Amino acid sequence: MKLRRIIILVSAVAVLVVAAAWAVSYITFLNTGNLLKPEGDIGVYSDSSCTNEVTSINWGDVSLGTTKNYTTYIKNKGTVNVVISLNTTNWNPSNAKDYIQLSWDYDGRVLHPGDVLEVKFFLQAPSESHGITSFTFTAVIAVNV
Amino acid sequence: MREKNRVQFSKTKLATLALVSLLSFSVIVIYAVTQTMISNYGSLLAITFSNAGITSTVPSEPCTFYVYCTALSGNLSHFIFGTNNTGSWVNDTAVAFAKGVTSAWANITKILNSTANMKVQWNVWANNTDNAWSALGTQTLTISASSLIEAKSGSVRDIQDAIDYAISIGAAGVQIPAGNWLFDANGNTHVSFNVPSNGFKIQGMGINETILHLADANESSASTTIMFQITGTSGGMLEITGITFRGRGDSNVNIGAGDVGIAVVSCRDFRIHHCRFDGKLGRDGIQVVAISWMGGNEAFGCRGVIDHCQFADIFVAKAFDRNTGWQYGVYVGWYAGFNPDLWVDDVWDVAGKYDDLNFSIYVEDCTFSEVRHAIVCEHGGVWVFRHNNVTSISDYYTSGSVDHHPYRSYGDGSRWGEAYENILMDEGLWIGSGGGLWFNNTINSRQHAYSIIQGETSDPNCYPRCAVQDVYIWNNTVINAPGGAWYISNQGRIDPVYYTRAPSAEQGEVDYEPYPYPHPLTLSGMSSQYSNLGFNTTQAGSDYTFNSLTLLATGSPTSFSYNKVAKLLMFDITFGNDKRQSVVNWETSASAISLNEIWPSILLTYQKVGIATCTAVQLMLRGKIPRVIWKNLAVLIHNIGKNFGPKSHFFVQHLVDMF
Repeated sequence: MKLRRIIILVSAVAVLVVAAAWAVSYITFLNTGNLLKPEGDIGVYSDSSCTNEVTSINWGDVSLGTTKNYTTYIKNKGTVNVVISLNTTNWNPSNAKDYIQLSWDYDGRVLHPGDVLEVKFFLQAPSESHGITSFTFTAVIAVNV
Repeated sequence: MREKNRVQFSKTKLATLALVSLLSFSVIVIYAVTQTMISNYGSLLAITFSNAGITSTVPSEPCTFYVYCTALSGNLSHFIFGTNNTGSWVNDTAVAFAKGVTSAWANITKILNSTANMKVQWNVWANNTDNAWSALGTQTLTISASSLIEAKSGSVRDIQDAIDYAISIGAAGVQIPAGNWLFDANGNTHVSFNVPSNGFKIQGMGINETILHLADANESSASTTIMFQITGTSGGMLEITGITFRGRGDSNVNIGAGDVGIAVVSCRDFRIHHCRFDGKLGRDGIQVVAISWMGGNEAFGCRGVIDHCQFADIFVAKAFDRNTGWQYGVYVGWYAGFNPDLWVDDVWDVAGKYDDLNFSIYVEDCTFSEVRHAIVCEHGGVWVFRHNNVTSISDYYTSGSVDHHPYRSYGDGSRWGEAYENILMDEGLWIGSGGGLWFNNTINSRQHAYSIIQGETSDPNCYPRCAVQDVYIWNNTVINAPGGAWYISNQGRIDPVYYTRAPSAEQGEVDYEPYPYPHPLTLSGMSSQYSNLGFNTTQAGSDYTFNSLTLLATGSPTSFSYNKVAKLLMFDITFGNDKRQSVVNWETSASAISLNEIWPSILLTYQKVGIATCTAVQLMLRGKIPRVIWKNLAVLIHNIGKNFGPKSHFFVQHLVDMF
């Protein structure tokens, strides 16, 4: 009788252990499930310690025929490897996009989670003003997972 | 504004993926894209601006506002000057630049507001021929507390008292009256002060009008006396003009001794102009240093311009000793001894530059005679010597008109010097360490035109500071060099490195451009200016030729009203005992006077003046004119002959009453 109780107790413990193991697996699964929706997430900062987020760049006065640069630090804040690409939009005046060029020195390398990469942006002014005295535009950094 | 746009996935797709994940218990990577957006803004500059500055902060006095404009596309078209100098902001009408130029000065002269300590803002806008406008940006000056305080006399005590009082009340400076004053200085008894942060000016009544002469009989053994010793670590601007500093003659100067006219110590943007240094000062006309034991700050440096000054008869033969006798026109030395931290490593950081440099000394439009060197530099100094006329160097010891001093056991030599557009009548150019540019000079030397001699040291650890390197020599005119144009010596050490060409970016250097001439600080019209004044005599027996002398007053405002009649009576030019005099008899018909045009009634012409022997040449003006015109007066001499003699002198004097 005592032995049966022991067997029942051991079985119950075993069931609990299995259940717990299943629960752990399930929790793990749920965590894994979060990764089913991975997002590339980057931050753009003006300092290498990534504390000052860059939301706009004031290029100031850019002399015709010259190029100015602006140094940023791009951090992969996500949990997956990413690569990034650059585009521009919302130019004002609209013809400025034909004469002013924005580029960077990012070389296409993979950014691993937590990586911080120094990236310089370059704004090249045209050799003639084409009637443009001031300009605005939006730089779009696409994060590709 | 930064935004993030996430790609949306369908619920079906997510469910499918979740099921697959549930079955596999594996990590699944799916495609996802986010976007980070950064706004950008700025302006395109079609015109760039440089060397912006002013010439005065004295209330109720003319002040020239200046800036150098460069069109980056097309040519310059117009500029507009705006200021609140009157109390409210006013933009002037547009002023046209000369046609077809891409770079030019934009200059406007205004009478400054009379309100002491008023902050005056100003700005310049310029456009190019495509009508693209750019702005300098708002500049600010603070008007001085008041105008000049008059010293009772030219004695040390009266000048010092006036300076102390002027500084105590915030005045703009001190004026020393006309007269031949005994300047009773001896050793440390001299005029000495720190330039206040709002700047300071010492003004005499003109060369040979206000004369400060050292005692010539009461010292049996003259110590080295500095007549004016001025420190400027406050950053305030210093200006000295219109004074003759005269030595004690040679009777009381012993070996190694000698006096100094002005010692400028750690001043920023100082200007010394229209002064004369003579009477066998024996040491230096002007010393420019940043030495700490003289009250300077070596890291702060020293920066400024010496222009339209006369250095004559500084050399004292009986006091000369090669190791201790100085006897220079201008002495330039940055720091004491050696200082590798301040030594300029890359000469292209300083070549053709002034602004933003801690140490940079310009000497231009000056004359030199009977000096050991017109300019000498050591202790890491950086300097430019241009558009000067060196008529004679002492016969006593053959040396260069321009001397880049070598590295020696007591300190570094000259670091960098530029010598161009000079007339060097008696000696050529000499370098013992460092580097420099020598171009467009006319050289008539009694020995060599170019002496390149490795510095005098046996210190094995001195290189590269003691090496002669980065030397570029091109496009000079050598009229005479009986010892051979070139003298090159390594002194048994390493070979000096020099090039007979201009520096070039293609050679890994820079495409050198001289700093704008005249120096922007000289645009002030503080006293008479003898522009392009260069007399040069021929060899004995030959002709001396020039075609015209033109008197011109420039400036702005362009017209003035006075209740006195202005007159210029005579315009003399004298060759030795041969005086050629023109009676001008020019006067204002009314009380209005116009500037910015050549006064046709005083256009003078001399032609083919023969000179039989070495001759002193003197120019003299006599008359009575408003001070504002005298300040802006220029004498232009055109078409000067090209033959230079070994010994000639010229003096410029004026006997003009000012009101």
